[in-house]
Amino acid sequence: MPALAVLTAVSILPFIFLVAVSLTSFDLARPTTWTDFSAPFAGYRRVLHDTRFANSLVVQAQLSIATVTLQLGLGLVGALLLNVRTRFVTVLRILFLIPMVLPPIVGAIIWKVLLAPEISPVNWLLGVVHLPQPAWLAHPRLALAAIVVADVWQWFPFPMLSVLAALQMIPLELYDAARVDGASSPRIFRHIVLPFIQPTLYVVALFRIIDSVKAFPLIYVLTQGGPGTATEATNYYAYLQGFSFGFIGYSSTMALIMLVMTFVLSTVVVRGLGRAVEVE
Amino acid sequence: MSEYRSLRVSRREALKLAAAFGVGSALAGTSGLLPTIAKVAAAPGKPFAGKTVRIMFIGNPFWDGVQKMAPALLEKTGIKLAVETYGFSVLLQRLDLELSTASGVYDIVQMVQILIGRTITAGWATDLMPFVRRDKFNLADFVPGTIKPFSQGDRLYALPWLPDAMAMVYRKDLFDRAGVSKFPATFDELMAIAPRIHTRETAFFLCENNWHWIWPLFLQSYGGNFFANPPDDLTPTFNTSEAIQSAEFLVELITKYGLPNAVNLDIPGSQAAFQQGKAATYLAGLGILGAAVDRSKSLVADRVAFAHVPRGPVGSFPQLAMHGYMIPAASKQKDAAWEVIKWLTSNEVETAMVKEIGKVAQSRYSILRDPALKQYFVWGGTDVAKILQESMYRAGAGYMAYRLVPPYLPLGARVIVAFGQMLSGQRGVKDALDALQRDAIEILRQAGYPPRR
Repeated sequence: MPALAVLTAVSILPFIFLVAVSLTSFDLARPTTWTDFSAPFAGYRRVLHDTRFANSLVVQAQLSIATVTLQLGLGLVGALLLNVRTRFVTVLRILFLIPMVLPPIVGAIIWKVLLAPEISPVNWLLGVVHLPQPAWLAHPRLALAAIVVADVWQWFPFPMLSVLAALQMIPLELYDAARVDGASSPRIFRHIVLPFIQPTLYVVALFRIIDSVKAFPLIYVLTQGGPGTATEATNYYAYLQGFSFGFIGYSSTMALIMLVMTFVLSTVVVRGLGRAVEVE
Repeated sequence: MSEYRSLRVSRREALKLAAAFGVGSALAGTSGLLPTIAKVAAAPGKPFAGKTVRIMFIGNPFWDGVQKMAPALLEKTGIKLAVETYGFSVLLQRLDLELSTASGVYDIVQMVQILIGRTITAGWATDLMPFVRRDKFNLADFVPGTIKPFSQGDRLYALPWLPDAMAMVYRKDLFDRAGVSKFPATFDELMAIAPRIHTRETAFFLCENNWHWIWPLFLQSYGGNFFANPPDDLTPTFNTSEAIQSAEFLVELITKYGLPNAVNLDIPGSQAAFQQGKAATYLAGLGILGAAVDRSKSLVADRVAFAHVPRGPVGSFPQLAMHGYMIPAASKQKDAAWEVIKWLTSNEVETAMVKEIGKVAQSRYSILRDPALKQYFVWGGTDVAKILQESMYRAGAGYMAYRLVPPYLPLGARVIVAFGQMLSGQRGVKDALDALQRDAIEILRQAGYPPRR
């Protein structure tokens, strides 16, 4: 009971504080605003008309859909290719882990060096083969694509390892039986492999969706939300409001909205997981 | 009984003495007697002996120089310095945390130019005038344009650390090759010679992507401003015809004659680009432009000269970045902090900084006009002290007032977004400035400054 109480306090109290601050117009430069509840829903009303917030939701959605889809896809392909028991493949698996164990800031700096036109080895290679050498982070579409690529590079090992673990749980007799019955590889994948790994894919998707909402280091290091607001995801905009401008109240409002949206999305995914487990 | 015997101490007496000494030490320690004794013993005549003054500032070679000179301060006053430096965005957050919580951890912090209004209005800074009057500190030696931003009425909230005026550095060799003998005096002349010098390998024009710092030079030169009449009338004026004209000019200059990644180039990036010879002209504060003549990094150090910024249809408005030393209101060692500020702004320290690290961003007349230091202010054959003085003098007219308004920070960030959109083709100039105007009104309202009209 006491442990539960402590856990509840540690988890719930900051959330209650967040809700309370979101109902104020707390501005760091005007300390009296921290207890100003005279217009508790002013922040929420403002968010409805804030075109920059709306834009950040679109950017966030684009980022989340692209990164999660690509991570799952690449992770699945990688897992299928690495589902072989040889020493070489075992070493390869370890190498694939490297991006995931790097601190996110280090990963962001690596991509900054890769994409800065003055020193970019990517642009140098493009120049060698006489292809255009764009300023990746100065173009609105390329900048977002660059963040997607960097994020996928860093995190696809996570779904890959998870799916690989699931693949290695599949009894070999099922493969043998299927082959004896004359099933092709695509059919084996569709009717044996996929049902087995589906729950894993749901769980991984859930984790990656939640993490995609927290994609801050890449945006902070590579583009700072620019050019314009082309890569300004919601958490970055909330950070600017709170920690650059000192509008803690408004930042809390946005954080709470993000929390609710992530919770709703997670619920949808978990329900999908429940159905997948039932089918299994 | 002999003298020797009379001086002998028994074991019991020795134990009593030791116990008495121990108790006495504990009492003295808790009462501050020991520190006081140590103070007198270690540093007779030093009023601040034993004090450590904590400083928080942006990272700059200046502070390496200060650390070397700190023993002299310790010798003179007994003050030890503990200096912490940070990158700009981290500094802004640390300042917010320190000042808004009134923690009193730091005794001297940077008064950041774009936070001057906010800092003063929030009551986070100590008025220095009582100290100035008490010590008869000579404010008259400071160029007025460097003191004015930190003043409100008869109060003074900081002393200048780094007054930095905008100027341009250019490649003499590329100008000579194009047959341009004189640096353009007007924006129109600048645009006219651009196509003669711009190439794929070397862009004509370069600047950093702090558009709220760069654009006002053009904006004011076309007769526009951020507000109708700052600081009294903060009605935003971001989409007037003057604003649109100036923005169109700047966008054309950068998109046609700038680097392809101009929208991403921060200060270090733009400095590196010029040092590598990727641009023919570079617009920035003089303190930033100094990188062009840094022989350890610049490939073009021997081929550059400096000039005033060109003027626009209405005149020349070189922007002035003022950063200062302030004492947080919550500091518990204001007297010691003031002593350090006097030392940091002294002729002794500033002269050493000119010689050791080439700190040309000076605010004292006595330094700027010192014949013995003249050689240090000549970069690429140009007397940059003259440029700095003239710009600071012009800025004294008050056109920098727009930067001192309390809600400047979110407004400046919104200007950066607008230019990011214009320069990357996401929005046309008028459309972007109209959106900026709408958002500016909302930002001011949120910050407690609803529009008058």
